[in-house]
Amino acid sequence: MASPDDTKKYIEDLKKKIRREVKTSPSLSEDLPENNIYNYLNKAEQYARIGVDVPSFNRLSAPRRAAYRWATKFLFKVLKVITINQRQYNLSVLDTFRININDHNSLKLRSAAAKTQFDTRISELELNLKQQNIEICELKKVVDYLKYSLTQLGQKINDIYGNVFKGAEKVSRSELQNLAGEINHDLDSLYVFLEDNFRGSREEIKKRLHVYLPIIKKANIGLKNSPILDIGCGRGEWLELLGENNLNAKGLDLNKVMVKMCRELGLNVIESEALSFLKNLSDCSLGAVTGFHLIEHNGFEFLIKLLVEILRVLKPGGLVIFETPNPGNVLVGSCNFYIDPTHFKPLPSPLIKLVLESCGFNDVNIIYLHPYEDVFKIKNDYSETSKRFNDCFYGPQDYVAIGYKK
Amino acid sequence: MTHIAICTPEISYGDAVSSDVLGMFNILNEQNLKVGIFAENILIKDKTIKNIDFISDFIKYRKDLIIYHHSAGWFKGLNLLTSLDCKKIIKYHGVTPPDYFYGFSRDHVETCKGGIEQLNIIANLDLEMYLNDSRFDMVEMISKGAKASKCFIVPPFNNIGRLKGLKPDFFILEKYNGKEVNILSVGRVAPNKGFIELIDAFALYNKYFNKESRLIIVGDKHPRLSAYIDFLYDRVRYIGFDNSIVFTGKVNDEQLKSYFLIAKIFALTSHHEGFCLPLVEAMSMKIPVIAYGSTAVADTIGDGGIVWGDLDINLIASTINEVVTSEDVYFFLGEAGWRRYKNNFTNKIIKEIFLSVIGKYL
Amino acid sequence: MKRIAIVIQRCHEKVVGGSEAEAWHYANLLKEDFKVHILTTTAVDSERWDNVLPEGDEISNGICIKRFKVSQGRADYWGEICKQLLDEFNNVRSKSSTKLVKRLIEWPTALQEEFIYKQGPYSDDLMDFLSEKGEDYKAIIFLTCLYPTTYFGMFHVPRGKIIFVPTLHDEPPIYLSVYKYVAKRSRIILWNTESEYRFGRLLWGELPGCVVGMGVETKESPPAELNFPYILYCGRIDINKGCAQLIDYFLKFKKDCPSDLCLVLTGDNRTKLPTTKDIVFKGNVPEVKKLELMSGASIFIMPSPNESFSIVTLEAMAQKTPILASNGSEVVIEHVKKSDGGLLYSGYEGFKTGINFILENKHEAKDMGEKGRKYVIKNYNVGKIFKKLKDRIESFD
Repeated sequence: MASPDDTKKYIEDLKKKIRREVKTSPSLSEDLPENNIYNYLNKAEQYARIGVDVPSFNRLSAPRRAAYRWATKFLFKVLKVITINQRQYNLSVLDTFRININDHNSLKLRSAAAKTQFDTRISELELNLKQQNIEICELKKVVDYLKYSLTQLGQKINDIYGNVFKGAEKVSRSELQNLAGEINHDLDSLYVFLEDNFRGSREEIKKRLHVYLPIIKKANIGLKNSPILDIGCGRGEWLELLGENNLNAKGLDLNKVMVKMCRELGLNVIESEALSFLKNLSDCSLGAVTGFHLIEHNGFEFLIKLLVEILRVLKPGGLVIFETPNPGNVLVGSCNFYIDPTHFKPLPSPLIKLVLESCGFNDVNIIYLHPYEDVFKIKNDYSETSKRFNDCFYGPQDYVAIGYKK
Repeated sequence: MTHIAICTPEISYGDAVSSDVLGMFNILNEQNLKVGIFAENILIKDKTIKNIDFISDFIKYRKDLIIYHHSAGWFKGLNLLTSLDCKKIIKYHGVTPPDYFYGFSRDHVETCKGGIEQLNIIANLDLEMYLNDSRFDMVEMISKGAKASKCFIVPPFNNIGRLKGLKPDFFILEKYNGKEVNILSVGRVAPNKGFIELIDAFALYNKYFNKESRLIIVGDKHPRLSAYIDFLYDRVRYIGFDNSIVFTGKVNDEQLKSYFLIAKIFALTSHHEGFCLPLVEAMSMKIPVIAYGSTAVADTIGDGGIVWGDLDINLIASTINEVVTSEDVYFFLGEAGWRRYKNNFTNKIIKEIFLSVIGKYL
Repeated sequence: MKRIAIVIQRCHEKVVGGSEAEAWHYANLLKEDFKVHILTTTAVDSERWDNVLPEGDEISNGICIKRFKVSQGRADYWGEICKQLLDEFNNVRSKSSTKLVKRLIEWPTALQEEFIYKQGPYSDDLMDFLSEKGEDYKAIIFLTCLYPTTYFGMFHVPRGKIIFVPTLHDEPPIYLSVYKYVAKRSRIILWNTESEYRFGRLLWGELPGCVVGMGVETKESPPAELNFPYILYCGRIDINKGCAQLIDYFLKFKKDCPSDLCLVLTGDNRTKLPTTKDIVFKGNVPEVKKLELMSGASIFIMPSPNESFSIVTLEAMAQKTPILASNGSEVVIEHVKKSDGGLLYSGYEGFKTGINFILENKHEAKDMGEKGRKYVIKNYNVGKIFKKLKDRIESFD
């Protein structure tokens, strides 16, 4: 049963249903008797004409009949003369009424027809517009993909040209290795395309990340001496948000296309592998390390090594934030997790909590995020079964693990 | 102590403006203020209500306050409003445009024309405050020249609490409470109320959805509008629904309550309303409301009922059927209306709004 | 500690009533784990609902009882609306072609609510309190659907917090369709017995809920020291509880089968009792005394056709007293049949046979007593009831 909070939507849906039913069924009002104004006019005309026709007096005997008829005719003739102007006036007024009503009715009909045509045309135009908007969206996605591919191609060509000008014999072993390594980046642009299609738009992701700002601000980090490092920064939504809040942050990513995109947005991003980057940092040099949809891309051993390094480089009071898909949601764990082909294994939240604690992090907290909207859930049923079903299938799609260095 | 005079052209039973006047009087009286009601036409037996001619005995000083209720042309009232030197607050209830009465009642045309002319004058007097029954009325007041910063929405006080406590008229309950679906509309039988369309909509509903139904129109049939009333009766006879459509004429409160109690649906197809108190009365009793959302009607109902933007009798008839035949929809709408009333139109809420708005003049 | 509210039309130690006892029982069960508020009126009498008790808070047994004044008691003309309701009920019943679903009275909502409102007790202050403070409670238990405190109260609080304990009897007002609506909009319904649940399902369809009932005192009491054998009735002494018929049958029985057997009655008296040494009226007795009387009785008699739970019958069973019950109440029939703790009667002959059988067959009577006690311990153990209730409340967000 709908709750009071849904009242507006409930009423709108009901009205749509009624309108659809009225549109599809024949107009009931056509069956209603016509407006009776013509009856009034006819009656009025009758009264206006009284005295013009002489009554027949059929009930009287013939001689009397003739006399009465003669007398009545004479009387009417006299009255006709007296009332001629009034009667003419009355009949003229009635005629004028009749003409006006006719004009009004025909105007009504014409305007109704015009309205119908107008409504039909508007509906057609709206449908066309909707279709065109869908096509434009699809085209836009393809154009974006082509842009990323071109960016990557451009980068490759620059590198090749650079090496050609140096002279083939002067190309170092490492440079050759770099070139070969380009093969590993062939899928970078495709990966950006997948992000755009399945992760969500930059705006949506940025909106979701707002929830972490109070945690950062409460820990009093992001200042010059306690910068934030975002590992696997991707399209740079988090870095952008931190920047807008005057917090000192930089990002790491291995995807060349994403790194270029971020730099074009003015974000401080380094193309580097995380573990090797961290190993080059001094102890207690960072305020926070964050990784959004990072840890599920790597194996368990890598995760442990990463956490050890993160603990070392964090200042006391610093924190780590890892957001990752929640396999506790059956749809995520069995299907949606695998939409990203670079995902390795789903990581249950109790495991991550335990791992963080055993690596030395304190006050480890798991927060579940991004449940499905109510429209997906079974509603109007408060039974235990429905509740559990909704929790398992339409509950939080992600969770975040937050741990602190003492 | 500030004297407060509440002025109205006429005070009578069963009239929305009078309910508001009496409601204001009671609230201000509760605050131990010196308050009086002044009217030109007094149809209520109450010694405390005085004739408007005696107002100058009560309003003597500049700090005194007049709350002037405007809903129709009232020359005496306007003269006093402009001549008395005191604080002035207008309570505007909306004026029916005279267009609706052409061909039916010259008196009504003149009264409405007077109301609109006087509205223009009042709006430009730049008085202390302009209180309006609804957003629609407020917009109208501002469009006539009143300063927006001085305009407020204060719904009118109502008699719902009193109606709730009354014993209903059992004759009406026994006569009309049966297997028929009763569709109720409450309002003076006047051309702006859209009763022709309501009658046609009911005829469709009765013919195509439910022959066991009845339309009950509760409202005063003023003798000066007999031409319009005859017009309605002719229409009813012409379409053959004499037995299914009931015009009750003026009723007392016990009878009014009974009509609400036996109503399955409250329908309104009025072309012009300043607020429409019967809507609120219906909503307070969980009677589903279906209406054409002209003028202030949509504001009053909000999401407490079904409001259509166009006056289509097919839609009205189909909506009645949808609500009556679906138990879930019926109860849901009833509760939605009650919630609308409870959150916006109880006298407790109106009292808070009223006192907070005019507080500085008390 | 989370807060729970229990809304009940009356609450006072002087008040004798099944649903009132259930409300107090639930309050006592829950008070260790929750902060319990009982929201009730200042009325004591269930006919007129006059304001008798003082408004405000009273702490009793660690439970806060908040009393609100009655703004609408029983209206003088309520009987007239009742008559119209009865006519409509008979009309609807005569048209009911199937027992699978009960036909409801579909008056307009306003008229149905007029019936409920004017029955009393309605309290404006209680409604305002629920509107303002309802959100603060984890759950709100509403008992007895017929009364305005429950019916209207449920509209003033968030739906997700409503636990509805309807305590249904098969009587005409329950057929009003508005009760189905409020039942559907509750979070969960708690039934007292399986038969109440079945009846509710016929009226309102399948709705989320479970059978909980009340816990019954099972500590064995010593028998009361009366120097004559007696059969016992406990509860409101009222024609609606079958008491007029009971007295009539008993007096006839005494003529047919003279002995020194007496009929002992305890509770609120609403009838004119005949002056005879065979009928002993004890009035309202303390709980301890009542259990002693039950323990010492040869038979516990339950003539009422309108029982929603019949706690007194179960209390008597717990005291190993065989039951002789009229077969008018489905709830009592269920208790007797499931427990084998007594006999059912129909008409005077059945009444007479039942008494004679139990009195003359001591062994069978003792067996009935044992079985009755076993049944109560198994199904109405206080701990079990408490757990069911607590689990339901904990499942709320």
